[in-house]
Amino acid sequence: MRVMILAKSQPGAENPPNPTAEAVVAYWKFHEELVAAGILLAGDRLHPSSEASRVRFEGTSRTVTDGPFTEAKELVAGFWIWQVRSLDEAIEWLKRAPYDGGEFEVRQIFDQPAAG
Amino acid sequence: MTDSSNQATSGRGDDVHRVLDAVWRMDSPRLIAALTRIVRDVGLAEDLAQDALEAAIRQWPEAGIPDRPAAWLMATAKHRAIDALRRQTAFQRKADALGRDLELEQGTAPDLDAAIDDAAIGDDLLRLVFICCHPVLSVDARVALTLRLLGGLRTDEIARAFLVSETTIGQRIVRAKRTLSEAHVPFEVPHGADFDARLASVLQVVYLVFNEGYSATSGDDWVRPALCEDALRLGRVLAGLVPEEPEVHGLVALMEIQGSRMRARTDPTGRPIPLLEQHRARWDRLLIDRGLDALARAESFDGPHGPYALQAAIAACHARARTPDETDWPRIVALYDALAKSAPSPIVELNRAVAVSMAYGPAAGLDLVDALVTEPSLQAYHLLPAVRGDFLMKVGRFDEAAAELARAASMTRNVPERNLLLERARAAGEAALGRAPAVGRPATRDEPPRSVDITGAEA
Repeated sequence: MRVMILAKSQPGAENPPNPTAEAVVAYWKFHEELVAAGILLAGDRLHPSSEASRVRFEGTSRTVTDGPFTEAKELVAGFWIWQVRSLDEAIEWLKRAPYDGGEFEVRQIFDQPAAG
Repeated sequence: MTDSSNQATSGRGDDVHRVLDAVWRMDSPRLIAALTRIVRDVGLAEDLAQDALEAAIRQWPEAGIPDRPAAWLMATAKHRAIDALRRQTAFQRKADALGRDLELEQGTAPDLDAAIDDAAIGDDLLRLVFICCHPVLSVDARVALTLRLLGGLRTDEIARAFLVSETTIGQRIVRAKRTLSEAHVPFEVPHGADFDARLASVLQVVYLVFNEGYSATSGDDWVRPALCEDALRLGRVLAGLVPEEPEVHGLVALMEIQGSRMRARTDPTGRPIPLLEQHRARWDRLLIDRGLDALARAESFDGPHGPYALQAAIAACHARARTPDETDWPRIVALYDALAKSAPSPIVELNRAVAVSMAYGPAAGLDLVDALVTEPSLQAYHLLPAVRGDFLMKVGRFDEAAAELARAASMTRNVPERNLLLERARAAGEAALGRAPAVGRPATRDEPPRSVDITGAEA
């Protein structure tokens, strides 16, 4: 199965301060472990919502709103797509990520043969 | 990792088992690889790892899940390894040496994490790969052992994937481990010419697993995606372990691109959909891109391209075509020509005939297939009459087409595929009676050229 890991923005700081060199090294080590285990399919950080737009659908009308958006908890700062055997495995991998703050969401991706 | 993150989980009752299940899948290959280096016996190594797992099942619900579950398992297994060796006086000296080794490690790396984290683990893992796919084992045994020790699958999961009983797989694994032990197969990465042959066996095992998932040889499912994913994962792991081997990238490319068609290959009732009739929008762009990247890596090496890279290049021709009409059939024919040179086999010839028919017409394809009819190794291969029936249909020889397609149907054990062939046989029969000429799009099969393997063991 595939999962998407959504990294949520930290409250009050959509753009986290520049990470320390140590944190960057730790991140890449983790990244390499994911690659070596064959589970990392894709992933990246996202630009802040100040560079984002929203498109709202109501019937036939579309309304575009430009960022920044304020409800920080709803904002996604980055994502991974992993191929794992179970949600539990994804959670265990995520627990090994070298972060000391923040919140991540694990969501399963539909990948059944398209049914109807 | 912080303590709090683990407390949150360990508070949730039976979660310990789920965590252990996941941790086992993630870490047991490295655990067993490191233990095999210590005890020099893969069977004993797995037993020790299992002992550690059982200790965790007993202790974690009470004590909580440790901060570093993998290191905990490793330390526990290592201590058991020492106990086991000490109990056997014949191994006394080795045990002492091991004890010193462990004390030394504890002195320098207090949390023992280094034991499974250090760079050497990659070498151990690679040695484990080569042991699991050792030619002293039957191909079936190699597959079972690889899934078990490298894929981290349980015996019942392997049994379910291959539709055999758990006992059968269990016995197969026990026998395989005994065979390795009795043959004193060394825990090492082979060298020189031996390396190439042994790597070919490894790639074959991985591709066999993929094919079993991609086009199940029997049973009611046409595809078993989880098995394809396991094979893909093994392939990617392997690409990390031996990045300088172009054929590893070729195999990964082939599997990623074929895997990209997974959800397009069956209709909602499980009926297989031929390649050229698939909705290309349902092809997985992410896997296609990954496959094309891996293919570029494979092709970046000097020298002639190997069979997996060539097959991946063929798969890439389809992946790059936005519509069936855009398919570069002459290029596919040229790639099959190269494949026929590098890995000659009747199956390659059969696939080449299909490509020729698409590039230069069914009559040209039929000439090639007719030459294969007496090929002994294809006598039980249902796709020979299936393809021949298809060509006969297209050149208007409906009676013969109906007979060939019906024969093909009787030769496959896969139920949805049999039904599809019977349907086409009926259509040919009706065309023979002068009813509606049921000529649809040519049914180029989305079938991996499954016997195109370097060893020819399957042919």
